[in-house]
Amino acid sequence: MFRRGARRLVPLLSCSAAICLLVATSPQAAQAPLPSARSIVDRSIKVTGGAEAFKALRSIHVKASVSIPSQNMTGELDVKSARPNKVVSHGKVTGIGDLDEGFDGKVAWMIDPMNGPALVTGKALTQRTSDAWFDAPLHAADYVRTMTVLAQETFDKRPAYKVKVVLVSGLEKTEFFDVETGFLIGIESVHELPMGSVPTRETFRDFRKYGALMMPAQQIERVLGLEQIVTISSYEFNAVPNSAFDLPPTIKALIK
Amino acid sequence: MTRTAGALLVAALVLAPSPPARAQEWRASATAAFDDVWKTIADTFYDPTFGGLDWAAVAAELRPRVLAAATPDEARGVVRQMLARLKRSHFVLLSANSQDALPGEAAVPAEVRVTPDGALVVRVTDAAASRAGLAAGQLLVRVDGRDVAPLIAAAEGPDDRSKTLDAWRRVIRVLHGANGSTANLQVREADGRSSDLQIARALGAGEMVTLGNLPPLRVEFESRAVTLAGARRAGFIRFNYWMTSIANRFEQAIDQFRHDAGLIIDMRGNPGGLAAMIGGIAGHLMAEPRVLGTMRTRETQLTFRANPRLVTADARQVMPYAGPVAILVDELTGSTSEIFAGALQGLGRVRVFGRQTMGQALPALTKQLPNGDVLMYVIGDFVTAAGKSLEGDGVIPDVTILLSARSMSAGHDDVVEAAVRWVDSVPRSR
Repeated sequence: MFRRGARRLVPLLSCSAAICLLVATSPQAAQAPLPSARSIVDRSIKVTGGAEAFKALRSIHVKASVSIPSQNMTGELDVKSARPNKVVSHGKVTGIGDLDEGFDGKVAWMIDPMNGPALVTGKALTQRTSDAWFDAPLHAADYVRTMTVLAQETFDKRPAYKVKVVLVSGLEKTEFFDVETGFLIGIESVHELPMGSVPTRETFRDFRKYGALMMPAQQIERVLGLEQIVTISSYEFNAVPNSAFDLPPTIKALIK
Repeated sequence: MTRTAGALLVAALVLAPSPPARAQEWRASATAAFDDVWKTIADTFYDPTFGGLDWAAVAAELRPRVLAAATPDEARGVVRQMLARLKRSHFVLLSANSQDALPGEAAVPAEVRVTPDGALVVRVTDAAASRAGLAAGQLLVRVDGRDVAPLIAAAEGPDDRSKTLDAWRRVIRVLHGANGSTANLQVREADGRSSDLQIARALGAGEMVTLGNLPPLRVEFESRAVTLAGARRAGFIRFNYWMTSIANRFEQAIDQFRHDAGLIIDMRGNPGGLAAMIGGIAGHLMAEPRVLGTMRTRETQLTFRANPRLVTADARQVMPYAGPVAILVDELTGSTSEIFAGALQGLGRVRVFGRQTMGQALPALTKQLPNGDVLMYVIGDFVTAAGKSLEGDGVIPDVTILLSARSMSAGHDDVVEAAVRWVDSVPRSR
């Protein structure tokens, strides 16, 4: 539920290039039998606050700071999302400017000073549609086609269950659930951007109580050889007006 | 970013110097910097074979030299040797503390190019300097008592273009100094006369932009109308870096010139900037989302496309500029500017005027090293939609125009004038 907002600066990273996927995984010897994927996911939902608590949410508003330490770049991020699949984000990065994008359930769009306003199409639209699914953390049948536990491995120096998830959309990702805490602590996927397919690794840390939910206060995303750190300053629940997802005038003009 | 031509950034680096470190401290940090550079390139260079170079052997050979270095600059020299082994542009070590750093943030307000005849002033960027006698077409003979010719003769590089770039960098260095300081210049006019000029160094015009590890850049943007025959008009646009601060002004200029007979985009001396901008800027000139080129990295391949600009910032529906477009380039046109010009040339959308570009067109990133230096490193190659790699050869103009001191002294800009003539020759129906 957090990660829906934290990927929004991927277009910024795609300004330049290269991927260096340092996956800290190593097979464990003499493993105990692996639990089922459903039980791993259900435990994650439970430790996060439970399905009922999550279903009580209509919207989430996240504010965060963003940094790309190796590039000496910093910025701010503001993400609003709502049921069933609406999202809008605004990023502001020093030296670059304002980065906006959204999905209103039908139209995915982006506006940035490098490219101007644009509609998102093709595989990138499929990706956006999937990313916007509010109930994604529940891994229900309307979002997930299959889930398979692959192994127990080390992820971000934590023992983790590695679960392959195939979405109804056809997209795939590998999720890592902390064996001890149950939290979803990482995702590896090939992210579909307008410029192409980019291997991405997300790490979730520092779970804290926000309202009725336990959410990560930090996300580290490694993409195109760069590490982006998103540090949450606030979560706000059920306070996003529907008008927040209205298409910007330039996007409306594009689809006329 | 994809970003900025490393060679020029070496010349432009203006960072606050840090306090000197004790010997043991600098050697440890210099060694850590060497190791970081080696590993960064090992992890990210787009060609995992390193073009046949044994990258591990390079470290084994050179690391002891860093450990034995007598000064921080000697250690930096070893790192630069390591980078040079890759034989690619955009592998650059930037240091505010080394002897390579510029002697001040201000400069004689002029653009200079190195020609077979010497260091030629091609544009004066400050009215006070013009009033003091500095003019395009003058050759720099001496700067503050220092002969310019030996500077040029001492230039190093594997080929003539590299030597010319290194010579330019050396000349630029002596033109720099403290803001407000006076540069005593001896110049030679095109007719052979010599003059002594006192020119105040200045910070230059433009908006100061800071982006990540790059040194602060003064980003200039200029647009104006050019009158053609028959009361027709063409637009002229010039900017010196690909930074997002020019995006709105470029759009406004296109809106102003949208129905004019032609468009001239001057990228002479533009060393590059954010490569991600080429799709947005190209979209002002193309109605279809055509592929401009692809960037191959170690792990993936990214496609750069034009984003047709069908609406303005105030949401008016428009069509991208459809008339003839001339792009002006020269030996200091680099990186993103080359990618843009080469991509559109390959698609037949523009006609390129001027001189062969730098040939330094590899996408790169920067990172800060343990000793405070900054590494610019290549993470991908770029191939235009026409299948042409611009690294090395750069962009070859459709119309080559050599620099002429005599012509410049007479107030001409031969490259602009050739572009204007071409625009004027294109039938209206186009």
